[in-house]
Amino acid sequence: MAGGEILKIDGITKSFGVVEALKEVSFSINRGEIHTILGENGAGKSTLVKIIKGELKPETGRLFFEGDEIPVIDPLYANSIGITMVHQELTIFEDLNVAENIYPNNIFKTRLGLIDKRKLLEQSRRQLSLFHLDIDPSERIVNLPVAEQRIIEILRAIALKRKLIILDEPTSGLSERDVKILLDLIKQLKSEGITFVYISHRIPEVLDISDRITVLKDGNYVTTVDKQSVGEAELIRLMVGREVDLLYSKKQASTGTGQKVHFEVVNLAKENFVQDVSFKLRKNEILGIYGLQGSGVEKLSQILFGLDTRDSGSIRIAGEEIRNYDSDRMMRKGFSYLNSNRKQAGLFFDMSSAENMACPVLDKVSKNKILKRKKIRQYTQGFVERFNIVIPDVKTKPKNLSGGNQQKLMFSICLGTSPGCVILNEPTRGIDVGAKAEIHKFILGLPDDDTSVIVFSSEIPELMSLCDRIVIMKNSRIVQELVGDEIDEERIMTLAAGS
Amino acid sequence: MTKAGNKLDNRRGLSSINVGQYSIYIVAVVAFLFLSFTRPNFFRYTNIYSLVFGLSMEFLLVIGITLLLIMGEVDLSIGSVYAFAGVFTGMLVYELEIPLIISILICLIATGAIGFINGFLVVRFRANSLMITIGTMILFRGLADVLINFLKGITYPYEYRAIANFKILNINFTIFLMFIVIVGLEYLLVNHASFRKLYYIGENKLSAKIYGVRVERVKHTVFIITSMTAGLAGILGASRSGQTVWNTGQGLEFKMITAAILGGASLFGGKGSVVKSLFGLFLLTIILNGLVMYNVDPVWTDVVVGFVLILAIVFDTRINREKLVF
Repeated sequence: MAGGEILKIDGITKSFGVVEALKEVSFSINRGEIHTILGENGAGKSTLVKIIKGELKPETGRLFFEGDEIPVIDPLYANSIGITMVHQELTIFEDLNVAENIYPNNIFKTRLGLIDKRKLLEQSRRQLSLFHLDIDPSERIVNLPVAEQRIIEILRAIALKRKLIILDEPTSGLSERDVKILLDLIKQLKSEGITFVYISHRIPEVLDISDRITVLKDGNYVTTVDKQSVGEAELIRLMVGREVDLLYSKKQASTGTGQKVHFEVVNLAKENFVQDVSFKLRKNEILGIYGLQGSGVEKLSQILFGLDTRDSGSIRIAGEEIRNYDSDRMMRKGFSYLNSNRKQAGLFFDMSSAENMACPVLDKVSKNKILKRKKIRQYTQGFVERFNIVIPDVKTKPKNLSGGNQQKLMFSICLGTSPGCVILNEPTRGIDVGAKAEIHKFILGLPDDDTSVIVFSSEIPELMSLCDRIVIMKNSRIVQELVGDEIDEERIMTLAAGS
Repeated sequence: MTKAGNKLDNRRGLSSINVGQYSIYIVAVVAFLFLSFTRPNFFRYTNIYSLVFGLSMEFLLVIGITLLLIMGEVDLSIGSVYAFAGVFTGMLVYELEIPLIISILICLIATGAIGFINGFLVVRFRANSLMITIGTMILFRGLADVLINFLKGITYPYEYRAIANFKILNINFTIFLMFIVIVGLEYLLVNHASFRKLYYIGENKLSAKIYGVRVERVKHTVFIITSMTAGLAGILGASRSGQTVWNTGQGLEFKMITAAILGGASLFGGKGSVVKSLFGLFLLTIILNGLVMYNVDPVWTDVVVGFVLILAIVFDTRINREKLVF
């Protein structure tokens, strides 16, 4: 069975608004191999996988499965020809037992059409022992550890006679021992002719399990390499290496090291997300925090602003410890927060831009609590000019603005409180290059207005052009802090993804 | 840039000519004129006065519901709280002989506590307000029934009955109260920094939270206010009827939601006006009154209210589905 192409990806292009997620991507996956797709956050991995599964329609390009062109983009069709995916989030049937989870489509029936439970359990037991798994098929699935739940999901895919299984970060959240059990199972299934597309950014693991590795970068196909021919350093170079253009000129090391500490985090922890995180932010400094998906960076930013709770650890603002804080408290302490996803939160799409601007400063734009429309208009107009927002009128609703202008508006709302410290999440996500450059310029100007900045971004070059210092997180912990000349793209990726 | 600007301007131009914004006034006036011209008994001082007086008994309920809907929440227990408050105050006055003023205060504190519980469950346990208040709805309907059962069919003492009949310039004071409260509250909703927060919460509560609005606290407060206004309305209602009545206020919660949605409030939050809600209630009232004028059997009342509610919600959902696409 082995050998030969099973899936051919031919010239796939896909964009979301102004952002091109995939550009003319072409490569093939061979039957019976484990093929890893590797890339930074936002490289286009998940978009490509969604297209293969039939969940997204590409603008151009074709997919060939076992030599035939896939005629329709439809998840059910993809399933019917043998393509399936095991998600990062589990899709188990919580109230059913192991056997029912392996065979959810009730193929074992008695003559009366009822489920043949005996046969179901027997078949499940045989399937489990085939892979040397000591699991009772009549056990309720929720009682199993996460690793075994994932294994059951893979077995289900096998039972459903799938030929190509996409595994999205299958080892995230697993202990080392469980990772080994899972990887062994995958290798055994491979030897039986199942093809795997493997998504992960844990490079040592990728090198362990893959036959071939395809690297994507900024939506472009970079190369496909054999495992034998590359090492860790080479892979990292392929993932991050890019021509440095004007947009991403590296920031000159500033001399702010003597400044007073403005904000300090000590031993912050939240189970499963953040462990032992401590760092300091100096007055008028721009600090970057980088981590791959699942490293805990997202949760960290929410905890810092009081949008989520912590288990332990403390924060200090200008030396004063803040207990029991929430977002309102943090705002009054001079913090503000730019949300990472403006569609989800950060704007009020169906209210006027002026009303959007007024939200965090209601007291400032009112007299005796009665809002002054003229004041709000002038206030908004000021920001429209300062940040060059293209807007017909301050009454225009954000839903009628372009992505870049939405982002600038959101940026303005956050800065309206004249914050002493602003936490920026993905400050330029999903906007065009021009708006991106403008926002970078504004961020670099913030320290001159006495605002310290913490930037969370999944784009290393963005952090490099903005930050004086970069803290790198992996597996819920800070692994390293880089300052000035130490900041280097390959080095950051090695720390975030390497062994 | 100017080109893009023009394009955006046009789009805004289209959406700002929003007929829907005034539709409740238009429909209410049309219905009013229709009944005035077709039924001679409709446009008479006594009929109109009794309609307005009826409104002035119920407007407090529609206020609470409107404030909640603006935030995307709802309280189905107001009808039961209305019934409970009336008979509870009656019991305090009649059975325990507590002075009226103190009885009313006790009752308002009790209804405030109901709102506190509703709000607490919704805010702390992130429960769905629709489901939670179905619970309190049944609970307090039951308590009201227990109290009525205990009191039997009594007539309330004179002083209690006198409240609703208190008149200024030969007009019931509740009518003045209604106009003052509605206009004042509308002004605050449009202009007051604290009241504006309701709209931010309804539009996107996470955004509101990020920008320093204490979402939980505001919600909790409005649940308390809603229950207390329902309690006050219940006291006025009981005072007007003058005796214990089974099934008082049954279905009022749905009537109020219908009225508020007719007035442009949305189950999706972010919208609502107490003036328009009052017009919505006015429209419902004259439709029901019109049915009587056309000699339709009163058993059809619920059929009509249900029909109007479904219609209003279908429109609301359609408008907001468009809104969600950006």
